[in-house]
Amino acid sequence: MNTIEVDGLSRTFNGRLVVDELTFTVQEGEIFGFLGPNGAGKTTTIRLLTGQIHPTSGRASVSGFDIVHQRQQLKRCIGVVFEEQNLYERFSGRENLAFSASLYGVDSKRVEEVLEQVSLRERANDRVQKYSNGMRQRLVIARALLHKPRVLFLDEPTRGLDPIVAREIRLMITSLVDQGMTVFLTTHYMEEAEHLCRHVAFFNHGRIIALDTPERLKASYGKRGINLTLMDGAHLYIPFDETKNGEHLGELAASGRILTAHSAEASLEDVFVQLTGRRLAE
Amino acid sequence: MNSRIANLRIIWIIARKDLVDAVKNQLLFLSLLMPIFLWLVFRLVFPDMSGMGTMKIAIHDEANSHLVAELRNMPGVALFEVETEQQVIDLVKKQASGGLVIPAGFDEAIAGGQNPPLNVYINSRNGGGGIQAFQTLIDQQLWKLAGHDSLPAQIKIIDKAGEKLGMFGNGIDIGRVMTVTLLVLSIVGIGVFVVPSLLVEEKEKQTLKFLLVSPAGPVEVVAGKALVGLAACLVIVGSMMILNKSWNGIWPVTLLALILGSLFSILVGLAMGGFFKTIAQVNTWSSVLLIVLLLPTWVAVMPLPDPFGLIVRLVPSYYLVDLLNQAMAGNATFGSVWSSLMVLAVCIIVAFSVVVWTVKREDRM
Repeated sequence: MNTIEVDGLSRTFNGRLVVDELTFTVQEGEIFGFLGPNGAGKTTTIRLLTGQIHPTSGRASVSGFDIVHQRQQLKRCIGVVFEEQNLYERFSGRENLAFSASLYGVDSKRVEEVLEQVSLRERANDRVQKYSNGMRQRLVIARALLHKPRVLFLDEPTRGLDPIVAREIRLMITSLVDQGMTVFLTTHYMEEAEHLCRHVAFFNHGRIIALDTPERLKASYGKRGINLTLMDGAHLYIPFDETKNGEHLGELAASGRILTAHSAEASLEDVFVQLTGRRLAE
Repeated sequence: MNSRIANLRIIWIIARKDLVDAVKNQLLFLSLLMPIFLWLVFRLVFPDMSGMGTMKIAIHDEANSHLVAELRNMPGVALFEVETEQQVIDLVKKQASGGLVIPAGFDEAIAGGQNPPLNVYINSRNGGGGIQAFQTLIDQQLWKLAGHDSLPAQIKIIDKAGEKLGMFGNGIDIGRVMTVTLLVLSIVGIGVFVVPSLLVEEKEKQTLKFLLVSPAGPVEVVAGKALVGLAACLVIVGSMMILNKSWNGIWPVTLLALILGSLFSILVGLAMGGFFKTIAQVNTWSSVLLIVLLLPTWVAVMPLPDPFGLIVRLVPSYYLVDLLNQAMAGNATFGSVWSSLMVLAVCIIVAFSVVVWTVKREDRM
């Protein structure tokens, strides 16, 4: 079942086409990765899908609600983690969540639940001004989860975080999907998308240039083979396309001459570069 | 109906959040309290303001008249008993509501039905309401003296309108000027500084994005800020009125002026909040606007010749100052306030239209 359906969605700003005829679907309970370099239009796409701005043309629905005509219903079934850690700095973590809970009409017990979920209970009464970057990000995620949304939009959720906190956030995302949530994730971190997403869309200059599973994308644009480093220091590439190569690899392994062996498949980064001539971090 | 109640609930939640935040925001909180602080300082420097709102009458009495004795005992009347007619004229020119010159043998002449002359000095620059109240009072006292309701004296009214004066009338009643200035400062300050700051801080800190994906829409956000502005105006202005125990102004006109003035300045603040994106922009422009909107209160101290006097009349707060001043002087009548009320009402409609346009623009983005 499709949770997000996008059909020919476009948006222009002052005559400049920022999102160009997007068409894709996101299935229920999956993490959908939206990958592209800075300025490609990822955030504008999220703003469109969350009803913050109207499309110039095309249509889209999230959880069955039209993004233009059913904005109130849409708002109640989505959670959004913005690129910025947009919290009320003079409020404590608990006060930030309590304010959000009252807007959504959520019971205050739920505030304590999400504080526990993001491991912020002990520091919940501290002002957000005193929070570290990682704590703020966890609080932003907690706020997005407060009303138990069916779809979670995450805009660069691990940007600028240290590797340990970024890993915690990724684990949290995985556990949310395990509970049945659909996640729309924009990122320009390849490994993040590769590890988390069932489908990824490559996005450049406002257009989707490729959309598939990470495995199929890598297989389509990379090489099927193995890179070997032998004990004598020699490097060898053995493609998988001929039967005799399999026999050759077997012989080398049996002779004990192999020092290391690595898959020669392309990374998502390689695929993106092949498709666009740009790197994601640009 | 349910959705309307839900919207009102959201407006209240946003307003409550902002009220709590205003208390936590030291700069904002202090700027809210500043007019009250100034008022307290003013009261400390000028502790006796009991004369505010009283009718001041200058009298030269050669007859040791009962009329003067009656006026002395009247509440809300302050008599300035002077030695010469010229002193009466001087006082009428400067600060008195009116003046009387009672000739020798006045009471006896009235008792004998001789219809003695009575010189009554007024200053038409003081405004019609005050003069009318003064004349009515003198008529009533003369009737009382004569024991019937036809005038027992030949009243000669002499208008001693002096040079062109500001809207505060003859002389400067420092208490009234200060009270009106601080009331306008509170209302305008909250409108052009506090209200747009609340809105623009949400933009600058990107929390507006969060609000707009929550069940709140642009209308609820703007209405929430307006509610905070209105609450702040009520609390601050209300506190100042309570502190000003000797207030003798006309309450309905005062309240109407304060409500219309608050609405206007809050709407101006919301429009500013719609246009500006940073607090720095708000600070810059609110200072400029504050100076412009406070200009009419300064004109009271330093009357401007035309065309500058006419230019000040283009500032909407001129009409708020005029209403408050008339209400405080106790000389407001429907005839004297309706034009100022109309101008303020039109300004509110224009400001409201601008706010609606900015909100719709935000919603259609």
